[in-house]
Amino acid sequence: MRVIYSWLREWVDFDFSPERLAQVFESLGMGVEAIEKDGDEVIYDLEITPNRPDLLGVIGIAREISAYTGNPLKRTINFELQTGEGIEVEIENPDDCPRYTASVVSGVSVRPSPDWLSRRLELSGIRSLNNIIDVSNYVLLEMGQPIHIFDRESVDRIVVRRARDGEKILTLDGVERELDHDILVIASSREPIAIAGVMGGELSGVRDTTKDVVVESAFFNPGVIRKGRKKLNINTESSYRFERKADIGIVHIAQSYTVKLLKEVCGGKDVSPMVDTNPDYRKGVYVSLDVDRINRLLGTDYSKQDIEEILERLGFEIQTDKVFVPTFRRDIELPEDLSEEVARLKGYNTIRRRVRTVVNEVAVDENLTLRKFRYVLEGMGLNEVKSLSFMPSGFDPSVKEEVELANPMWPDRTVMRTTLAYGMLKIAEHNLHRGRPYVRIFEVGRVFRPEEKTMLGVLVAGVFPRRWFAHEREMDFYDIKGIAEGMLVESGLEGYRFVEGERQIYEKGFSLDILVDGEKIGDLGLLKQDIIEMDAFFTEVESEKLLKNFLKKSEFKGVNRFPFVKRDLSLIIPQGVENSTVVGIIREVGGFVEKVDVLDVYTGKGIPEGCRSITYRIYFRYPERTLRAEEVEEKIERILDKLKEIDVVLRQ
Amino acid sequence: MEIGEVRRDFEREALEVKSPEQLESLRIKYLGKKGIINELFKKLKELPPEEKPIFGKEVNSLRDFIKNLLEEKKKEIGSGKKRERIDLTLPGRFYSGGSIHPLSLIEDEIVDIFVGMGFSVVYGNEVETDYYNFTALNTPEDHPARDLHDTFYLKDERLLRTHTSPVQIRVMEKKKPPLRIIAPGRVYRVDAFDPSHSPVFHQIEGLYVDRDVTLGDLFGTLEEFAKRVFSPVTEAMFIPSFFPFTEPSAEMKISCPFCGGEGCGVCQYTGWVEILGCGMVHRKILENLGYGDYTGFAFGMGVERIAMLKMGINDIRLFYENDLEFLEQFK
Repeated sequence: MRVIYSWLREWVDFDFSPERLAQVFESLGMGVEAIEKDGDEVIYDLEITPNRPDLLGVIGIAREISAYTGNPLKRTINFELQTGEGIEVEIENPDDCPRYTASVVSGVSVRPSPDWLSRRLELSGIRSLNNIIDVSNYVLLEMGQPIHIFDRESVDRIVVRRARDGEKILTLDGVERELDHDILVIASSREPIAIAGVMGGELSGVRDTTKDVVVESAFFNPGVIRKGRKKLNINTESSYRFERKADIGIVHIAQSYTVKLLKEVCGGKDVSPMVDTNPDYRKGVYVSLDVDRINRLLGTDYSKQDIEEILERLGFEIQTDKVFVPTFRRDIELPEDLSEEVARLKGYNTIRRRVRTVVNEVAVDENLTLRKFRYVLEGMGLNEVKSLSFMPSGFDPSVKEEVELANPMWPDRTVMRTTLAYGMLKIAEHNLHRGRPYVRIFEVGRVFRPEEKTMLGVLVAGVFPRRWFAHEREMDFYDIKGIAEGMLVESGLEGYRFVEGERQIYEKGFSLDILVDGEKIGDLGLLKQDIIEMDAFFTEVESEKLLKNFLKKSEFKGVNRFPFVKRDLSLIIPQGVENSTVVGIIREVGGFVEKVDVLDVYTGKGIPEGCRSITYRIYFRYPERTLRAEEVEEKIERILDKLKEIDVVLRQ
Repeated sequence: MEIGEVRRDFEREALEVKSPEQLESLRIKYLGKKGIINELFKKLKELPPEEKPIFGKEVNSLRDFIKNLLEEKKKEIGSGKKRERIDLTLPGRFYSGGSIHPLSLIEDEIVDIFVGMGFSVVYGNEVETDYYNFTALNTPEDHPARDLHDTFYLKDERLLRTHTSPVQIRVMEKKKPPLRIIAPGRVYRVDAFDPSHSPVFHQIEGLYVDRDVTLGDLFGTLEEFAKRVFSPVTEAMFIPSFFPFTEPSAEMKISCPFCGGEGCGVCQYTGWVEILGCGMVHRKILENLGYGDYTGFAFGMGVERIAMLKMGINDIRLFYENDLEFLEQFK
């Protein structure tokens, strides 16, 4: 809402400088978006909250200044018209249009507006068109009440009704619009001549030759106006006010004021009596006044007298235990609304501030768990990222039911992510494109499958560059597997294992599922989608399942002080036998095997075609005494015997 | 053998010692079981009684002298492993940590402040129903306040929450006051993706419901928050505002963290920047939930907004572009 300093001064006395007035606006709850100077005029662009349609007119803002300063309004606009039989007005449903007034002014001549009028409009951000239209806009700006003016020739009578499905109207903006039963129109006997409260019709509007006009000032149902204008996708100064609920009590006054201006500015001569469909509208509401309750909510100790004075300045009438609130403040319904008014006028910043400290409840804290684990991942050298939550449909075929957006932001990302992989791939791609040799990133976020789950994802891709102490190396499957293993160890989960997986975001044969107690908690592998022909490796785990023991207190299990006995075995392993089988046998047969490390994997010279050599280091340890060499040797023999059964033999 | 002679011999031989091995043989020669010192002690027995004390003293002091010199020599030679000089200026085998996303850092910081004031953390879902996102928050269908939230709808008529406020209702439905919670999380609005808007962003909701919670409590709590998250000299100002689910409603402005209130581009030369919306939980909401005897306050803030102000970041898209050069600045 743009409002002019000098226009306000016509309505109320105040001695604020333009800068001070801006502060006053702010303290009353009108945000000042801009202060502009144009010649000797100062214009404020105010942000008016949706609950205060009364501030969408000069008069409403003047009332606020009056309440703030205690200076009464200087002007009143008296109702001057005669009511009686005039143009025929028919309301189909009073719920749609609770009040409608109309009068006919004849003998106007359409001309450019006088300077004072066109200048005020233009400073307020409305283009000056001709004196008639300008008058209607002037009333809108001053009183916040939208006015529509028809050419009398196209209006034999006025019917306020819902449009019939398929009915059409050419609106003032030159667009032909198809209407339906959700849209309220003003019609003549023949056809719709305006979309009620939204926009007039081109054919019924004021033109250069117009002599007689019909002035409409009405109150329309806010919900109906809103629904209709949303359907038509139009937003006008008029609909903006009606859908926020205009002031039903100003309708006839605005009508009268418009007619007065038409006579003064546009040469209007004869005026018909005004038709008013609802002169007995409700003039206001009662809200109970409870001084104690107001103070209790605010944490203040204002006196009854103070509170009453504020409410009176706002134009409310005090009766013993209640307040009568006139129609222009339709936002006031409850005692709490009165407390806001009191606090606002007293000044929010005069209220004594207090901090109440309390002890919070002890709870299993997901926030703390996730937070600490993020630092574990950070310590592993990973960078945390946050991707947007949208994904192309079908990116993750392993999830059958997608959460689909009805109005996606981007046409290629129409569903909520079911995996963090998509967003993380995009981020990896961005960074590799920018010349980073590799990325190692993680994300903590919701996926939708379709139920919401918080996942931990890690993605690595690229090449570790050569250093003076290390060769250049491409990241591979074992990088991501190692990270997943690290996460599992750090989480404190016990008894996890990997089995070959089938999730379709991964290349077949290049993925593992992570199982705990037979239940899948995540997976890892080589993503099908690469980045600039570079392989991307990914792991994704359900955080709730991974971290269920993370913050549990660790139990002390004692320290085994007996030494390890280490034995290295170089084995020749035929095709088809996997590491896990060999290690399984070593552990099973070996008895007190605490750990098996893989020291080397080798194929080539000296190894039969198709076979691999793997060198294991086995750590034997017995918790109660030192193992004797013979015991270990015996175990080794038994391991080798057992391995022979699957054609795994000692490398000579 | 004269004691003085032994001493001189030892000193001379010690000068030539260069390696731990030589040092060890020198030690054995003098201090070993059959070493010279022990030989001298044997001689002691053969001396006449009157000479014994003097000679014994001299041998003892010679032994101490040798011991000390050998110690010194040992320090001088070092452990003796053969080491070649290395280039100390070559770079190390560097193990760097990663980084935590700046939005996480700020979220953690905000959460800690409120946890310190007795709030507990809860989470809500990002997919919500119209009822929880709007209607239950006193924003019925066709309420113009809905225009402030351009909503992503799902094909099944649910929606992506446009604010974290639905958590207020979810929590109050489950648990009776007293309640003190904060709820961080992602929210969504159909918005341009430009320097100051993102369709996905983060909020932190706060809710405190108890007997006689006042507007003064709200202002005090948030002022304290502002001082802790920005700086102890930060000032907080409250201006009236409107949210359908609070009454009275307010917006908090703080003295501009960049210019300290002097006026700069960030605060558009006003000295103040808006950081959050808040208010007293609307009576209708409390009554609908059967908590008519209670009062409460609620607030909601944008994590990106606070992060941008605190870290001097001028484009919200940087948070979602995730350029490593950006991310690595936050440790």
